[in-house]
Order: sequence, then C-alpha cells, then structure tokens
Amino acid sequence: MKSRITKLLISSFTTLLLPMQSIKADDISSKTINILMPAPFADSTSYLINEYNTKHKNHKKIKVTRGPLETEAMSDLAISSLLLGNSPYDIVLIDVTWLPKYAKAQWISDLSLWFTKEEAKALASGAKLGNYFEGKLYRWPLVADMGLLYWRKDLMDKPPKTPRELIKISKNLQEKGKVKYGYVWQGRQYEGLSCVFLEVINGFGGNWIDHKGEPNLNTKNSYKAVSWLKELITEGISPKSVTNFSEPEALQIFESGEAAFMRNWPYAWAELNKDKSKVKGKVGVTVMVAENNNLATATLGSWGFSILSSSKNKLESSTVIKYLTSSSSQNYLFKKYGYTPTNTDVLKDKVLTIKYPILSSLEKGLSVAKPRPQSPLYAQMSDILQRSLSSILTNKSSIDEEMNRANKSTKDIILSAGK
Amino acid sequence: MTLILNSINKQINKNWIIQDLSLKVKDGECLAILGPSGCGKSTTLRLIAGLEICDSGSIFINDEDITNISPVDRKIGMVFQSYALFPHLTIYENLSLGLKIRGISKKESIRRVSSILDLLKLEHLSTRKPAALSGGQRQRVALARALLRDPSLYLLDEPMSNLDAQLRERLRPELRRLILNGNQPVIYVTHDQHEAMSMANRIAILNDGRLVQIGTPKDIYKTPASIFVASFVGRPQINLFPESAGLIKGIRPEDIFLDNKGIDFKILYTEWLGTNQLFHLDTSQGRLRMLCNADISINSDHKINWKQEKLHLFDSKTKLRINNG
Amino acid sequence: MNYLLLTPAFLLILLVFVLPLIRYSWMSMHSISVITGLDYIPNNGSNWIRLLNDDRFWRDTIQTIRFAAFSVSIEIVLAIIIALLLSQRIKGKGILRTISLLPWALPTTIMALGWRWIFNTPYGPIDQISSLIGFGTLDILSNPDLAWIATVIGDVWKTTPFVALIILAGLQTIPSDLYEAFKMEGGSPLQSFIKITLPLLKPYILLSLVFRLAQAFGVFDLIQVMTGGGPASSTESIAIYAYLNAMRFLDFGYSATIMIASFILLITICLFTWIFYNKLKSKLSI
Repeated sequence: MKSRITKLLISSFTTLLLPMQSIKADDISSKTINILMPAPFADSTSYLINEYNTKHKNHKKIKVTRGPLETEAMSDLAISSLLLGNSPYDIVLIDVTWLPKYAKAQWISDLSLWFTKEEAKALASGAKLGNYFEGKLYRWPLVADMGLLYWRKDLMDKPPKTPRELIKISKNLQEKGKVKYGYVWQGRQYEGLSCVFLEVINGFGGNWIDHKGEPNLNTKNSYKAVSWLKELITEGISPKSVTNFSEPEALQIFESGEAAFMRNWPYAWAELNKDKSKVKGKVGVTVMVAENNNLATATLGSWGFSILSSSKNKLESSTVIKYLTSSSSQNYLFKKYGYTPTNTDVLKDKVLTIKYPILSSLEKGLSVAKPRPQSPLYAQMSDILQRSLSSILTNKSSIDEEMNRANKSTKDIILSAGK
Repeated sequence: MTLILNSINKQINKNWIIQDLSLKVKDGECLAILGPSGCGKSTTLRLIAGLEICDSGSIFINDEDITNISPVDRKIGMVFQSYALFPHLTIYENLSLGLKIRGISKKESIRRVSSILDLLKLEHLSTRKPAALSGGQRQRVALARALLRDPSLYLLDEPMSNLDAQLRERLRPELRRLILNGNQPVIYVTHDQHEAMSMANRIAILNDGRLVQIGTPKDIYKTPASIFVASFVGRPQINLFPESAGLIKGIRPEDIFLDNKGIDFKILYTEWLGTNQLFHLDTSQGRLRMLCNADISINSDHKINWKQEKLHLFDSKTKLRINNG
Repeated sequence: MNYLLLTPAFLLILLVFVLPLIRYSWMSMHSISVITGLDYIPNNGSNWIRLLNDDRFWRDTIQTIRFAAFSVSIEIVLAIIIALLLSQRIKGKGILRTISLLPWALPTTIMALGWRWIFNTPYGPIDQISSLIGFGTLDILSNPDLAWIATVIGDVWKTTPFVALIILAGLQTIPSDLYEAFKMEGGSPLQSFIKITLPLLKPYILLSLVFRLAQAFGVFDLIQVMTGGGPASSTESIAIYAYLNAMRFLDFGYSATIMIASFILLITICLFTWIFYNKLKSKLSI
C-alpha cells in the first residue's frame, strides 16, 4: 500500500518535471570559444570553423555544440543552459524572436562595443531588423530568412500581386484541373501561423502591433486578412488540412506539383530544384501578395549570433562572429547552402546574381522584410494569435469574437507587464 | 459405481505419455497409481478428470461412456496437489462457488457448505482466505470441496505431498474416514510407495506411460513383475546380482540373514534405522544390503545366507519375472 | 536499525520528490518572469487566483482528463486481450512478445512523427485509403473535434505493449490448476475470466491504471509533435501549457502554479480511480 503510494507519487512527479533537463557543461573552459548552434548550422559552418582554427594558431579555438534541429527544441536547450546561470557557451546562435526576451533577461550582452555603426550600415535593410532591443545591439545576423511566395512558372506568365488575384488564378487553374490546390501555407497552430498572418495583415494594410505598441487585431484590415485566410479554406483554394500544415507538409504538396502557390522560407528553393522534385525548374519566387505594392511584406526570420553576458571571452567572441558573418563566409554559405546573405555587398554582388538568379528574388524579399513584434512578451502574443487564428480557421468560432478576444488578451498581457 | 479405462492412449507434443492403459476400479476401492515422475500418472488422472482428452480408447463410469463429455458432467471430486484454492475468495466462497455456478439455490448451498464445514471442523475458518490457513487446513478445504461435489469418483493428486511427515500421519485416518470408506472408487496418485501401500487396496505401477503391474500392495511387493517394479517398490532397495546364464537374481535386504554356512563378507558401513539396521556389505557376490534387527551385533566370523525360495528371478533380456511367488 | 535501512530510500524520495514539490509550491507564490527580470517577487497568491480564473487551464484540464481517461481505459482493455493471447500456447510466442514490445521501445517523438505522417492529409495512409474507397480525405489532425482521437490512438499504440507486459506478468502468477479446478466445478471460460482472472489481476490492473494515469496526465511530447496542441487548442494538455509558460513565456511563477495544480488534480483522480475500482471489484466478486 505504502509502496504503491510512493510509486504513484514518484511517477506523477516525474511527469511534472517538464523537459528542464540540465545541461552538463561538458568541457567548460575558457580555452575555447564555445558556440551553441542548431545542428544544420553547425554542419554548414564546420568548414569555416575548421579554417579559422587552422589559420589562427595563436587564437583560441572555436568549439561548436550541435544543438537540436528544431527551433523550439533549440530554444529549450538555450534557455535551460541560461537558467542554470553559468552557461558553458560564449556565443549562441539565436532566432529573431528570442532576442527581446533574452535581452530583457540580461542573458546576452550589448555588442556595440565591437560592432561599429559603419559595419551596421553594410547590412541589407531587412537584415538590420531584429538585432536591437531598447536601442541596443544584441545580435549580429548570420543568415537572413523571410517568407516568400513560390509560384509555378509553367502555369502562369506572372505571379499574382494581390490576394484577389491569387484566388482568381488558383480557381482558374483548379477548375482546369491543372492543380488540385491553389495555395498551400502554414496553418498549424504554431509559430509559422503567426508568420503567415503578419504578412497577410500587413498586406491588407493592417498591423499586428502598431507603432505605439498597441494591438490592432480587431481592426477592419485585420478582419479582412483573417477572412481572406478563411476564404482560402472554404473556397477550396487551400486544403482543409492546411490547419495542421507546417513547412514540410506545404512543401510536400507543392513539390509534388499539386499546388499553384506556396508560402515558405528560402530553404524551399533548393528542395524544389532537386531531381526528385516534380516542379524542378518550374518555380518562381516573389514576395507575398498584398492589396497594393507598398504593403507587400515578408516576415523576417533570421538567425544571428549573440554573446552571452556570462562569457569571459567577449572580445575574441566578437572576432569569431565577424569572421563567420564576413562577406566571404556569406558568399561561401550562399553558394554551398543557399543561405540568404545579410551583407549588402554579397546580396547585390553582380557576378553572383548572374550565376544565381534567385539571389535577386531573395534581395527583393529581404527588402520588404518585417520583424514580428519585438517584445519580451512576444511568445505570449504569438500564442494568443495562434490560438485565435486556429479557432477561426477550423470553424470553432467566429472572426469577430476571436479577434476581439485576441486583441483584448494581447492588451492584457502588455498591461500586466506594467507598460 | 465402477471406473473403467479401456486401452487409452495419449500423445503430447508427439511423445507418448500414456500407451494402451486399461484399468478397472470397483466401488469403494482405492487404487493408487504409483510411478516415478514423468511416468504418466498425472496425465492419467487428468484424462479421467476430462482436463485432457484421450487420443484413443474410452473411459466409463458406471457403464456410461464419459470419454468425451465435459469435466463438470463427469461428476468427479478432485483434490489437486496444490489444492487449487481460489486465493481471492474466503473459505466459504471457495466452497460455495461451484454450487452457485451449477445453479444450486442459495438456501441449499448454505446448508450443504455448512454441513461440510462442520464435518471437517472448519467452521471457524469460513471467513478466512486460503493464505491465512495452514497447509493441513488448506488440504481439508480441498477435500471439502471434493466432497461437496457428491461425486461418483474421487481423484486425489498427490494429496499429501505438500505436508510434513507428521501431518501426513494425522491426516491419513481422516482421509480414510471421509473418502476411502465411501462407496465411490478412488484414484490416488502418488510417488510415495509408503503412502500407496498404506492407503490403497490395489496399486497400479506405471512406467513410461505403460502399466507395468497392478495388484494388491502385498502382491506387488512379494512378486514384483519386473526388475523395474522390484527396484521401485521396497525400501531399502532390493539387491540385484550380476547377470549369469541369462538370469538376474534379486533378494530383498530383509531376506538376507546371518548364518554359519554361506558367504563371507566385509562391512562397508552401517545405517541405523531405529527398529532396524542396514548393513552395506562387500561380498564375493558383489555389494549387498542386509536389513537386520536393531539389536543384532555382527563380527567378522559371521557369514551371510538366504533361502533359495526368497530369490526373485528375472529374465536378463526381457527384465521380466520368471519364477512365481 | 530498521529506520536506518530506510534512510537511503527516504533521502532519495526527499531529494527527487519532496524538495522540488516544496520548491515549486514556493515558486507558485511568486512572480518570476521575464518582466521581473527573473527575480522572485512575492505576489500573495495572485498566480493561484489567476489560475482559478484561467479558462485555458480548465479547458486543458478537461482535455487532459479526456485524453488520459480514453487512452488508459482502452490500453488496459487491449492489454488484457493481448496478454491473454500471448499467454496461450501458440507457435512463435517469443517472437510475438518481442515484436509487441517494439512500439514501447521506440522514442515517443519518433513514433509521434510517424503518427503525424499516418494521419497526414492527403499523403498519409489513412487519408489515402479513405480517398480510395470514396470517402475523401478525413483531415483528422486538422479537425478540432477529431484530432484528440488521433493523439489517443498514438498513445494507445505506444503504451499498450507496456501495460500488456504488466498484465502478462500478472497472468503468469495465476496457477493453471485454479482454472482446472474451476472448470471441474462447471465454470465456463467467460466465468473463469470474471471470477478468477480479473480478481487475481486486480493488483496488476491497478498498478497499470495508476501508473498510466499519471503518465497520460503528463502527456507532452506526443501531442507537441503530433498537433502542437492545436488545432484551435483542442489537444493542448496541462503539461503543454505549463511548458509554454516556463520555456516560451519565461513565466516560471505561473508555470509552477500550473504544475502544482495538476499534481493535486492527479492525486485526486488517482484516489477516485482507486475507490471506484474497489467498488467495481466488490460488485463483481461473489
């Protein structure tokens, strides 16, 4: 009896222990510059890092820890290590949305000592965004990332510019039986849905959070944006199952030639042009549709390096960051891995653009990139939005009701922060 | 009431467990089935109980062919070696469960169970569970359950083997009173020859699934039908002489005596058995065991001898007996 | 002396169970978030007041209970059936037993990805089959009314083997002569299942029940991978909500409150299950 209760207690307790697994600081030493990166980045930069370690014999060596593949898992790992205080890392590669939170928690340090205004000017306009919090520079971008509209060059002469056009072309192609679906995107209840929505709400002239920091989710433009997304589903332009689509599901359908349009990130380009892709050579890339040209928006999703406040090697860390984000490194990363460069000179490199025409589309996309609301409470705001959008898209509640609720909850969150 | 087994056969996993076994057990007779482990005695019991079905042959109770009828319809009272009491039920529930599922009214069931509990002096235990009972008490509950069936035949599977020697002594008369003195045939499976001889009217000896001898305990002891029976029954074991002229002779240790004529011997060692003593001797005829009265003392002048009529003669090829008692 | 021998176990429980519980309780009485700069600021139980008024928490609670109740009861029924089959004399039993354990040995995230693919619209096998036979795609994971069923299926698939193993171990402790004795008394196979097997399996069923309830109540990775809590938050569990608060919102005070609350709920549920089971059992027995 007693042992049963004990067992019960222990097992129930272990279920309560959420994945806050501790990070063993394997080989904490100030003899190396330790960088935590998601595995794909660790792989793609390994050549550059080897080169650095062999060339700079008198420098501290770079040591990379391969983090998890998924952004969320990577965030868990980073936060767990930061919460423990004495983090073993000097540099962490962070996502654009984490920055305000990390800065507010004072986990990352101001980089303006080592990165000058001139250096910042050399960044492409979109890449400048999302590196600052309360006026201070906390991150230096490695790779730019932004939402793009992929379209089928074999099915139309030019891509749609407005939401109406997108529906019209889709319907037309669907009726002719050229494609099963018009448009695939990310409708699952997760961060990707917020990214999709940011582009759409801006495209309709609305705002998620306005320049005064107030939520604008219950405005007319916001309703228009949500209605359009919902219309995509009810009109059969997008499959019903789009409400559980993240990037891979959308890519899978578009890659098999069953859709006319797809919203995705730059990585999809390389995937779509692999031999196994049924749309190889038939795909064009442009910016998201908008009610007029000035409103077209690409959600910025970029990765950049931050130096942890706890690092004892800040100066050398900044040297390492400069090396890894230098134009020559970016050139290499673009050519080898298709990483969107953040430095204007690489992004607008004439020779490179001729050889890789996609670069101009990326440049165009980055030029209209917007960051998601830059607040330490962003995760809560995004969560509120995702819940409401998912409810609306799956017919669980009405647009009016949900967007009002989302707006109010977002306000409450901001208020509770004592702003 | 009579039980008849008519040349039954049983194979399990392509091994012959029972071969051509025929038996007849009369009213009120107790037949012990004796044999080494793996000889098929438990299987025989299970075939009679209906827990296994014969491959061929037939079984009759009172001229009714029960070979293929269900265990419950055979109306058999069985006592399992482990007693097979239901551990989650009280003694009362253990006894009444069968009555209940056979559709006997609650009133009748209470009456019958109470009278059995009374008969076996188990009333004070009726609300306990088997785990709270001693081995002897559990055995009595198992007997009670068999009695409650009011069966046409009893099957007892090693009913005493889980009890200590003292308890067995005490339970034997009770077993006799309750079951063996009734009118039903009783089949009593055991590996203990002592128990078989003391409890049974007749003993059937099985070896490798075959019946090797059946008869009264005395017959079996005095005129064992084969070398196997001779050495299996009787402790201390029979002395067997080395083969000569196609014959194997045997003499029981108690049939060897001290004599002036006879053969020389050397005492290897002595076992003190209380009323008797057992001498292990080295002789010109090989090693021999001799059972003597406890108060006899031996010295090296003695010789040993035996009477020719006490010798058991076996054919060295067939291993079967060739002389008569 | 007796107590001395218990000390290591006692210390272990204290260390892995009591201390964190006390710490979380204490945390739940503070504001600890990115807004406080992760400092601990006492807030006079306002986390708890917030929790009581938090519709999302209660909705997640109901969803978690629904998930746990369905998966655990289906698992136990299936496990008993599987254990009964595996305890029969059949050829290749050893291989069957090993194969049946595979789902349990697989990491949850991997098998959850598998299920996400199985329920994928339109390429997953389920939608492919339903399209083939003319029902069109089922869109289970994108339907807020059905997605939770998919998560239950995933959980049942993963954990039934484990429960079956416990039940099988239980079955093997029941001596076969009990069944034989009962058969000779006239019991049918169904009766012997109800009168013998079930009552004697009781401790094993209860163990599985409590163990699995506790596990299912804390379901996290399966749902995180399969649906991320969506669509329309219809599959969000308490653990996911607690996780969001801690690791995404950096609101540790509230997250601790959710954890302690779910712990209290779990204990209550297990107690009720226990009482209910005993009542049920006494009704079944004679």
